[in-house]
Amino acid sequence: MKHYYPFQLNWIKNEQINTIYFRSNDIQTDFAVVAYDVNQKSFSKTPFAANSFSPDGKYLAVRDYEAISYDGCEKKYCFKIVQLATGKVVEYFSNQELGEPYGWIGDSGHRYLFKKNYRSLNASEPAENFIYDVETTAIIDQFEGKIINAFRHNNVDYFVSKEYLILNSYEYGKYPNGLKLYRYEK
Amino acid sequence: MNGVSSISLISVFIPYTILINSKKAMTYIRLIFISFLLLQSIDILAQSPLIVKRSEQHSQIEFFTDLDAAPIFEYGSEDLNIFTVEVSNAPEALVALVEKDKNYPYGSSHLTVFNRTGTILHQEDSVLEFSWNTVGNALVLTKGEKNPDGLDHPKSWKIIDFS
Repeated sequence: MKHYYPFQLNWIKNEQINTIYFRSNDIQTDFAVVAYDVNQKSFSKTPFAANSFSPDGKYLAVRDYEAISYDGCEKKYCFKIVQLATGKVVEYFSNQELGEPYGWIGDSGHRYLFKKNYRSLNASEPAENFIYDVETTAIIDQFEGKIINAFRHNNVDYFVSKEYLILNSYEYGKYPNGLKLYRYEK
Repeated sequence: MNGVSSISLISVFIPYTILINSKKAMTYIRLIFISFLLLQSIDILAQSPLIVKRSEQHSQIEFFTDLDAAPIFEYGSEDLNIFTVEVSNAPEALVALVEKDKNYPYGSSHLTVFNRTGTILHQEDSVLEFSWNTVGNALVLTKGEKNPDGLDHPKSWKIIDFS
């Protein structure tokens, strides 16, 4: 990586691939994501500006500001999940009914987490979480409560391995609070 | 009937006597029992998630295997500024912790990697960014150098394998 100045590192390793994806401010890469094959020790420029690959590297989540064009989206807000092998868009999320795209759920297959109202200060609007399954293109789980994995809770931060979620399970106005640990199996 | 009873009594009594009277045998039994308990606790540690809690002042972390249990390990000091923590996906759940200089929060950092019992496996200075691989047994990091603009820029990178 002599002439690259990498940032936004993302290392996908499984039985099929062992690739480090990164962005580079090098002018030759045109700000596209660069792939480094760890086994072959070789670089290649990808056609993507996004670097949120599923844990197995088969899908890519593209936020609106990372999209090269808004093709297929009517509104500016256009979050989409793309299957890399075919280049096809699995699904467009052209409104914010599911809230904000947050990220892939660790080693759980192809499941993506959306969070809604988690920044809301309005106590009448509890935080909602949606788990979207790419294989079935359906919401497979929905629950209220603030996900506090790596987020502040009672003035402390909790971190847990990526296949787990810590959920603050309290409902607004109801006590006692309780922390729950969720694990999403493949 | 009496013969059968006496035979079964003898078959139980003799090994029992040997065991009780033999210090070596008792030591072996104790060792086997302790090994069994140790293996069980290692198995529980390897299967359970590792939860890391960072204190309000970002100066201390604690490792838990259960949200309601006491911490199994603590690390930190008053001077520490723990910028971020990343728990890997490996079954042994390695923990990478990044400390930043309080007086220069935008600069490069000091990285420390722990295993789940709190043993330090690796330390690295001048780290700008890092990422665990999805298996969780190796990480890639970029190292920075101070540029004339006063900011640290990535200049090199490194892969550290813990497998």
